[in-house]
Amino acid sequence: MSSQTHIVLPDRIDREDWLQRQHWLPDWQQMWDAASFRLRDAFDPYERGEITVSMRQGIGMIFVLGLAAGLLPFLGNLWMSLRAGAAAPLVAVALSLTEMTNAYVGNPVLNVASNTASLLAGVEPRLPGFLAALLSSLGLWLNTPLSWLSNWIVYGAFVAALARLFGATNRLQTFFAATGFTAAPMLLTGLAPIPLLGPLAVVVAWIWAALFYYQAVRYVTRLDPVRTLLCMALPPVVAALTTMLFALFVALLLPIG
Amino acid sequence: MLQPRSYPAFIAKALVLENEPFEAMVDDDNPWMEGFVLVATVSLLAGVAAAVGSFLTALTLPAPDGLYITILQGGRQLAIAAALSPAAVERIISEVWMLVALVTGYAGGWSHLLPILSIPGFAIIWWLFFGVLAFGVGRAMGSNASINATLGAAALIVAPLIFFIFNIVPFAGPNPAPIAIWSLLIGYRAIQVSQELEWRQAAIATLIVYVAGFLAVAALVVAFGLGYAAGGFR
Repeated sequence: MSSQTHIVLPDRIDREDWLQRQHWLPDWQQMWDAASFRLRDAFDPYERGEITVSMRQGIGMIFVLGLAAGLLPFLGNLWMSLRAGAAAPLVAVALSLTEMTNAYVGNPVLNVASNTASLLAGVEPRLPGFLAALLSSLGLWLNTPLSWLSNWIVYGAFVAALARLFGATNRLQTFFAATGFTAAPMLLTGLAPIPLLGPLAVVVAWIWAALFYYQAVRYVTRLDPVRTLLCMALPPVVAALTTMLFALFVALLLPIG
Repeated sequence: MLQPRSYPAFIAKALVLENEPFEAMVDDDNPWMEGFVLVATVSLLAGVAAAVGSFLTALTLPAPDGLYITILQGGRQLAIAAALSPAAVERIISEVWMLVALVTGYAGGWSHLLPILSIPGFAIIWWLFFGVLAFGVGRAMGSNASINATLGAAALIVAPLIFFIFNIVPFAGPNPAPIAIWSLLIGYRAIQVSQELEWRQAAIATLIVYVAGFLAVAALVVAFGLGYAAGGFR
């Protein structure tokens, strides 16, 4: 019997429905449909005339795709930290500062910072080096889906609130369920460590994701294009302005102190 | 009646803003006690994960003394390179080090266990603050809900703390800011369901509670800063 039915069998009443895999992950076909901008097929695969995909499926999908996107960077981090026998974040900082020092030759401050970071990465960890490398790389890997979830919730909360103020009547769950599919095009960011192709893949992923997000917000909220764009653009603009004002405030305060 | 077996389902459903767990908490025969146990359980789990994680993170790093000396040496060289006072840079490094080592548990000893106390402590205080204030604001907006029911539903605001379990892996873990935003969304649903307010009123009530919370935290930070500047905690 399909798990999509609304009929509840007596012997299934106590069964923890929320634990089943299909409630935490949409089909791969739905993800592909979303990435191909076939929004109706992605959000309403059973053709019920409403969005049947759930926010819970959004969480699962973002987590799984985030893990997949973080796989290549994880292998890269693991390789580098295993070679250095140190924790991955220390090695990553030392490497990026060394690259910056090479790019800006003759900068004494960068030189000192790079030397210090290299020294720190060179000090032996308390755990055996391979274990420190493995655990820390694993931690950085897990941070990819966690940061994707954070972006989805934080940005989504502001966009959904603005959409409400502009006249949208959709439910919050529906909004998050639909926008969760943004993770599908973002999968391309996992190619970032590949030389030359990586940066291109990241740019394509962000443009693709922004286009999808626009389509998804319009589909769910039924707002016109201008309002949809305003909903999407206002949160980052306000965040940037607030940061600038805060920086200005701090800069003005410092000379007084 | 306490039903800890339902907590995983409550948390999973509260995270996706479903009505069911909020209604179950409101309809409970002892909502505030159920809420207290839920808040304590989830936050204790998060605290234990953070404590174990901080212990493991410290182990993946070099010994604190070696790291501190290397950073101090780097700071001195940096001060010379940037034409700053080496003594001033050294003082800043030592103060930041002391605070970071204590908060993260890197200093060793009992500081690793700090999250086991701090996370449940903050969670319970925030739950009580949120619940009581939401009740007051809701009443002012015409709601007839009881404080007992409000506290029960508001307990679910700790659901996003479950992501702190990832802190068990060194260098992994969610950023607290998105956790606060997720908690705000759950708080909005808690107020909407327990106070039976329409969405606009529930949103305003949630924002009022968060603004009050922000002001309270800001006042505490300023008070701590003033006390520290005056020579306290040293």
